[in-house]
Amino acid sequence: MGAENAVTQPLGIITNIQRFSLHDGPGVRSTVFFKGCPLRCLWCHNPETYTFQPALSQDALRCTACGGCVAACPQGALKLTEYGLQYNVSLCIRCFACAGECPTGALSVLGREVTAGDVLGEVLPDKGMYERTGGGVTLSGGEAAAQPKFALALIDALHQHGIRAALDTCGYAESETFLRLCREADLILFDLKHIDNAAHKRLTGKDMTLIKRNFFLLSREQIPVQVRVPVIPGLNDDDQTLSGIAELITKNPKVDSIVLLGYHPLGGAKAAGLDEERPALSVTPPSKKRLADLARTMAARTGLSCTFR
Amino acid sequence: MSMPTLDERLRHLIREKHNNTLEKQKAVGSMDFDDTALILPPEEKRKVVSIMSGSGMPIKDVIFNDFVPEPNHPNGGYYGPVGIGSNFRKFLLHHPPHIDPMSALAGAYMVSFYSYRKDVNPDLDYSDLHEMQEKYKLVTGIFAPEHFCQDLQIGLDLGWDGLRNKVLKYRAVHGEDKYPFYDGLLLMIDGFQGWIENNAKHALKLSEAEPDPEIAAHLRQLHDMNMRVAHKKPETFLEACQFILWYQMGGRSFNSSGSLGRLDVLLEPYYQRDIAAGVLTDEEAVFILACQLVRDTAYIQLGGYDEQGNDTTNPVSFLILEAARRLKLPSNLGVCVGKGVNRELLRRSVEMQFQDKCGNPRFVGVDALVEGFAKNEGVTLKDARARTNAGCHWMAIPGREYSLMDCVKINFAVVLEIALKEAVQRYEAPSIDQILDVYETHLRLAVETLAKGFTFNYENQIHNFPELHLDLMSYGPVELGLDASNGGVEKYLWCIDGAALAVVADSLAAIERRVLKEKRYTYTELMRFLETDWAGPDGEKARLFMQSVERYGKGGTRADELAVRLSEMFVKAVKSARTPKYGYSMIPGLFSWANTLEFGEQVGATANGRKAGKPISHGANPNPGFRADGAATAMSHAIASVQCGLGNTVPMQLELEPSISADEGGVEAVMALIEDHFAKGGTLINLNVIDADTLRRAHENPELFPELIVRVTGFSAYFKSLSPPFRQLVVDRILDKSVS
Repeated sequence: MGAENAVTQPLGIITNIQRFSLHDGPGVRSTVFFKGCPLRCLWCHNPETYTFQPALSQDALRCTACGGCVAACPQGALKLTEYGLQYNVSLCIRCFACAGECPTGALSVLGREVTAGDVLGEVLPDKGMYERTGGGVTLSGGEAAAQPKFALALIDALHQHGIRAALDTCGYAESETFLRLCREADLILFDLKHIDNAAHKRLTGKDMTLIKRNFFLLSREQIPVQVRVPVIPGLNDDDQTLSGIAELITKNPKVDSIVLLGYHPLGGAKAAGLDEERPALSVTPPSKKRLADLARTMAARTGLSCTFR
Repeated sequence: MSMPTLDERLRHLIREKHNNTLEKQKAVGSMDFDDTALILPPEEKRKVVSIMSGSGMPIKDVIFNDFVPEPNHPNGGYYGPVGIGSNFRKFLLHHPPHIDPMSALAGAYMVSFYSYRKDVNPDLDYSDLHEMQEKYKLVTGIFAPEHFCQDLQIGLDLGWDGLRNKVLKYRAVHGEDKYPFYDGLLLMIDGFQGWIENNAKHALKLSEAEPDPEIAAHLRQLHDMNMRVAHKKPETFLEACQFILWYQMGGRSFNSSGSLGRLDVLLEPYYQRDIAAGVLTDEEAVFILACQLVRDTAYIQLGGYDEQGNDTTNPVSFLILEAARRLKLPSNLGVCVGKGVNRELLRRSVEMQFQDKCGNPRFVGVDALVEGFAKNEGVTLKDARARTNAGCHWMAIPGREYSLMDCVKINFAVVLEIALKEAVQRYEAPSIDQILDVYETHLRLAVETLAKGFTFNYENQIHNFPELHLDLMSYGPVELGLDASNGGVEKYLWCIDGAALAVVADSLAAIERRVLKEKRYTYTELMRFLETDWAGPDGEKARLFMQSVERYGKGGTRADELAVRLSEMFVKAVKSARTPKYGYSMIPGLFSWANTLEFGEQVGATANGRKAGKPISHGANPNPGFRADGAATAMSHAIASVQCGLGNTVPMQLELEPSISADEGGVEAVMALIEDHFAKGGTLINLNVIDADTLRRAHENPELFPELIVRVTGFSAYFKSLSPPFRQLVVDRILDKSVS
């Protein structure tokens, strides 16, 4: 991308681009994690993508207590204590001088501003892999639909290079923008997390009204969808909830497959290093057998292929 | 009682093999090298010695305590064609026979003849080269044996008597000055024939004592077949395998020679003939092949192009793969992958990697190798297609090329160490370009020193340890009366491998960022840190800062750019040089093999935050921790970008967690990864599909995992057989820990 283009291109904020990803759509993919999400799912695997701003991330295990960051902070937001490094978010002005002075990467900045061209540069080397496996690039997060201009620019740039784009979305976005984005994407991975409005709000911070609306708009627009259902023991894996989700799915004829995503506790570990508080979640990951059983039931109820991982 | 089924016999052979391995581990301790499948001699005949291996690594080995070679030199050594030939003959005739009645094939080798050597011929002096060799700590390849590949077709067409007649014929043509060479060859043949006959006779003796009539009949057949194979050319699939096995075991013992070449192509006519005649089934063929593979871990290419560019994949390719799959023992199959090569072979191989987790087979990118090799002067496209994967990372045109592949190495980290000191002295605060200018000068001097060594070796190895075994089945040595090391074969394209690419690229990137751009440290400080091995809290902090600079392999980093530039510089330095006197050219590659540890010990602290003495990076692989997601595609892209592009390999050492096999399309994803790497110019992939937890537990307690096999580099080995530092190296690489 030339410098001229760069200034006119919309900027986006992402946390990471994961290459050789096998779990975010068909084939081998690169997954672009957008930063910022309107939901606050209690089980979120990627809590580092909650906010739309760059954030400081701590990895206590890598800290050598050298004190470089404390000396670098103009605000006194960091202190070395006997319990390790203490970070006072309210004092932080997000200059991130501290991370620059951290020799080990124990402190790092999560979130970088990029153009579609920047992302393209990072995902193009694997184009051959996408072609060989029917893969491509997945816009995930966070919520890609929450940065629609950048997401559209990215999909456009990918298409110009013959790379297919999948949108992995929670469905919570202004409908018109959301549809425009979905029309451009080659595949929609749509998360359904619950069926009950109140429960949805309790678990994710938002109710389901807008999500349901968008889900059925996709059907009206004839846009094919893969539904992904997080399975969080004790929170949404009861039969009533799952049969409700199945019923919802059967009402959208454009759903072509379902994937159950078993809860894993990685998000909790990640959240511990972040500057946004998140209530601790005490959930045991579902067993493979349990997931297999649920997938069988879901397939039977919907008549669709249902896999799990 | 009767003869057990093929399956039962195979299980017996596998059990025996495990027992042998345990015994070997007890007798010699760690083995950071190929598990070559030898069977130890009876306990009362063993003597443990410390020697240098054929690849120049110090190893422990077992020899016969009752065999004493006859010296032909005042220093007590034996050298030259007659000295070597006569002692090898004596050795083979002394070698106890080994018949396992459950095997389809006779024989096993127990001891390396090569391990009896005390020293090289002291009359052959290259002390004029020592200073420069020592300065750059070069692995020179001088007096290194083998590392090229015979064409077994020569032997299959002639048989041992035919080979003898051929040698006699040319002996008569040439003058007396060639007699010692021809006599050396005749002594070799004599030894082989005697060894084979001794085993045949032993089979007969066993048959007489065998109560079971079916087993006794099988032993008699072994006797009859081997009496034939000792003289006549093989006529059946079974005889061809037996013939090849004798030659291979003898070669392994003679001087570690370990390549068979295109076994599938060599055996196919016998297979087709026997199948058509109804005297062989696929199941029997697999069993016979397994009996062969269990006795030696020779390097075998499967599939690939013939001289016309047609795929050579045939039913035997799949049968060999199946034999290795059933054995689940260390073996060294190189499966060719290319636009014109049967994809089914690749699919089967990847499935096998997932199922067995034995690091077998490896994958050979024939398109880039052919295209690259054909770029060398005097090499035609036909030559390039004929070249075969014949060793750990190396290639050879069977019977026509001598190159000392894998025996000659430059440790780039040593060159940088020298260059950095000199650049700082000369420029005070040198730019990266200035450091690289000095680096290039030293790199060229190192190449020049190696080139002089090649010429020395070319003129002198014949007087030390000639290649009599490989000569017998090469084109030229017998006809011309010249050893392959000494001008007997058609092509001399000397190999020079570079090592520690990532260490140097990451060091330069770290200097550029922390010293030149951020000015966090001055050169004076940096040099002090390096000299003191990052001593003190300031040193440790500096080390961490240098280490945390984005590395080669991440993609799009400065270190990635520098790695490409370093590779190009190396290619230029090697290609612009010639061997003195003879004007032969050399071919660059990137590979470090087990030298990864030894090379690390030779180098002080490096600017990428590596501590003094720690291992260097493996071949062209990035340093562990090169990327948070460790993405295989990123590594693949990086290694493809630093290929030397002239037909010698720059392997990718790839570790994959098997969890992806559970995913739909896991096999397809790995197939795509392999094909994509090769489409980008990649040349060789050593793959380990391994479970990280298993490896972690095996590292903590190797005793609990006696059968865990890992592909160390080009060769696979029992994890338990590796020395603790080598195990650590493998574990760090696979679990992708940061360098420290």
